[in-house]
Order: sequence, then structure tokens, then C-alpha cells
Amino acid sequence: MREVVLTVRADELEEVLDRLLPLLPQGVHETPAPGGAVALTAFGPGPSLAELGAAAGDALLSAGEAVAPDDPAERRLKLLAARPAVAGVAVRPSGAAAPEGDVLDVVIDAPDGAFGAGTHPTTAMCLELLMGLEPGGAFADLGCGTGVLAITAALRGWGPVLAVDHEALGVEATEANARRNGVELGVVHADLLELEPPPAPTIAANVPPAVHAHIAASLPDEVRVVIVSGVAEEALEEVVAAYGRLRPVEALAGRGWGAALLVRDA
Amino acid sequence: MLDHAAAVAAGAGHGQLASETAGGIGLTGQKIVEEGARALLLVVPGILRIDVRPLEDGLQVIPRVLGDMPLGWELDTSAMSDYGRTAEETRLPALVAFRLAIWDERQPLAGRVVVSYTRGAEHGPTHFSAHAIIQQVSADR
Repeated sequence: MREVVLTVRADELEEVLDRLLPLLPQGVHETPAPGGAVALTAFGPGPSLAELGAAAGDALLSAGEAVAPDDPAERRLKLLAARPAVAGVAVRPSGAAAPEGDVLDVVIDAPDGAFGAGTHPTTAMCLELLMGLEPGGAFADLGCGTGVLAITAALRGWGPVLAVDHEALGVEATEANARRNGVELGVVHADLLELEPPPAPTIAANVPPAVHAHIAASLPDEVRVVIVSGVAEEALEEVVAAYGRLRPVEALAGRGWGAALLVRDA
Repeated sequence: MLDHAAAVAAGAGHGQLASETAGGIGLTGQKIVEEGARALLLVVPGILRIDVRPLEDGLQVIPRVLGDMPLGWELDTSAMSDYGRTAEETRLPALVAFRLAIWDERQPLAGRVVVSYTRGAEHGPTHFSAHAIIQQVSADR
């Protein structure tokens, strides 16, 4: 199967898509590329590489064509493996090759329907905020999905690490992924709307606003740092405000989603 | 402003049909999209494009105004079902609906978009079917 990859400047992504998507009914896969660029990959028939490059216009940085596997699962694996590391951590499925260089290697297999193979913008933003923190003490991943954040935290040195999700599929995936990465997690199957947040100094909550409201309202004093994610960009300010005495020190936004790092002043 | 013939032409390669309706335009579109890909589902040239992107356990529906007009866009939670479930978890198509408004000073537009979809298991492609009605409204509504 034909594979076309156009690397374009991220600041003109939407304008480029205005011109490319009408030409590519099958759609394009967006992948972060080095230097703040975005790689747009399309599989299957379509206009020539020259025509697509012309449609990308001045935003085009490079263009290439290759042969992709016919099997959609193999194409997905290839795309996942091609993702660059985010803030020093590379999340990959077990079938993909390990990253090279000084990068934290996190192996995550996501059964269909379980959230958090690392491809979702909210997960990527959580990882970026998490990698900027100094590890130490207990850590809780609330809304753990497949366990990406909990496993990353455990690999970096937090402990003990607790992972909680209301989806049985996610809990099972987290336990399996913890074994794959050789880390020990406390994995709990629970409804976060009915659970008191654990007194862990560092918490990551990649959950909807209603769950954030519950967590914020019952947050123990022992919690010093909260990574807030899973929230639409326009709702982030209101969600952060619910955490009251915790102060936002960093905020991220992308593809319509927002995330923030909150700290409790001493 | 709402040119159904232009929408027919623009959507021909995308499984979109369009026709004139009372005071507006009706669109239907259908497509199969691989997980992670962003694809055009509905388009009204010069006015609006609606893209979809199946993602892990969910779905992004991305409205894009093709001009300088501000867009109002909200989820109609009363018309949402089985969001993010796979075909193995639910035997019915999932459903999600939106209300939209485009604030053009000369001719404001309002509309509703209904998207139904079914995800295959094991990260398979997603079947989409969409239906939108967009109408011209008076500036004082």
C-alpha cells in the first residue's frame, strides 16, 4: 500500500489540512515531528506526491513516499513506533522496536476500548508534565487507562504507585503492562466519583471535569502536586479553579485539550 | 451563501450528498476511517468542514470554519449514546449530536449535526454516518 508523508510546520497545520483533507478522503495521521513540526501520513491511493506537496504550500518542510504494510494492524504499529519521544519518554507497543538513545522506554499494549496507549493528546500532555517533576514519594494515577502514567512514574522512581480506573478493561491492561515493564503497582478497580483520593504527594488525574470536581472537593492535605488533564481547553480554567489552594504553575494545550500542573504552597 | 450544488461537488469524493432544504442545506456523509486518522466527513465549501478522528476509546469531531466567522459549537448530550464503545461492547451504532451557529453579520447560520458510528474491535476502522441540516436564520434571533 502507498504511504505518503508530508512534514509541515505546526503553526500552519490547520491551513494545510484545509487544502489536503479534500484531496485525501481516507484522512491523514498527525504525528509530532522533530523541531516542532508535524508529520502528516496518508495511506492508499491519491494525488501525486508533487500535487500533495503543492497543496501543503510554504508550510511544507519535506515530502516522501514509501510502501506501507497492507495489514492495518501493521500500519498502526509502524505509526506508533515512529512517534518521537515526548520529554524524554517513548511509549511504544510491545511489537515495536525499543527507542535508541537516552530515552525512558515504556511498553504499553492497549486492548481495544482501553484508554491510554499514549497517542491521545491528554496522555501526552500528562507525560510532559510528569517528566518535568522530580520523582519521590507516593504517586497516584487516577483514571489510569492502560497505566501509562503510573508505569512511567514507577520507572522514574516514585513509589509506592497506585493506579485507579473504573473500566475493568483498563485495570486488566494496567496490570499486564506493569508486568511488561517490570514495575509493581497497586491497581484498583473503582469508581473515582465514589472514592476518596489517596494521600499521595503527587497525583495525576486524566479524567473528565465531573471527576475532577469530586477529587478537588475531597483532596487530602498530603497531596502537594496534581497533574490535571482530560479536560477541553476552554474548560481548563474552571477545573483548575476548583482545586482552590493549589496553584497552577504550568499549563499545556493542544488539539482542543488542556492540562495543568498544580502545586500546593507550603 | 449555502450553495448545495457546491457542496455536492466538494463532497463527491467523500461520500457526501447534499440538497437544498427550506432555508438551508441538508448534508449526509459516510466514511470508514482508520484509528488515529483525521478525515473530512462533511463539507460546505467556504463555510464549514466537519472532520472526525477515531482515537483509542473515543472520537474527536472537529468543526472547522472555512472563513473568518466565529463558530458556536456545543455537544447535545441528550443525543449521545454508547460513546467510545466498540462493536463488541454494544451491538448498536453509537450516536453523538451537536448544535452549531456561525455568526456571519449578513446571514447567520444555525444547524444540527448527528454522527453515528461503529468501531471495529482491535483498533479496526470506524464506520461513520453523518447528517446535518444548516439553515439561515435572521440576524436578530
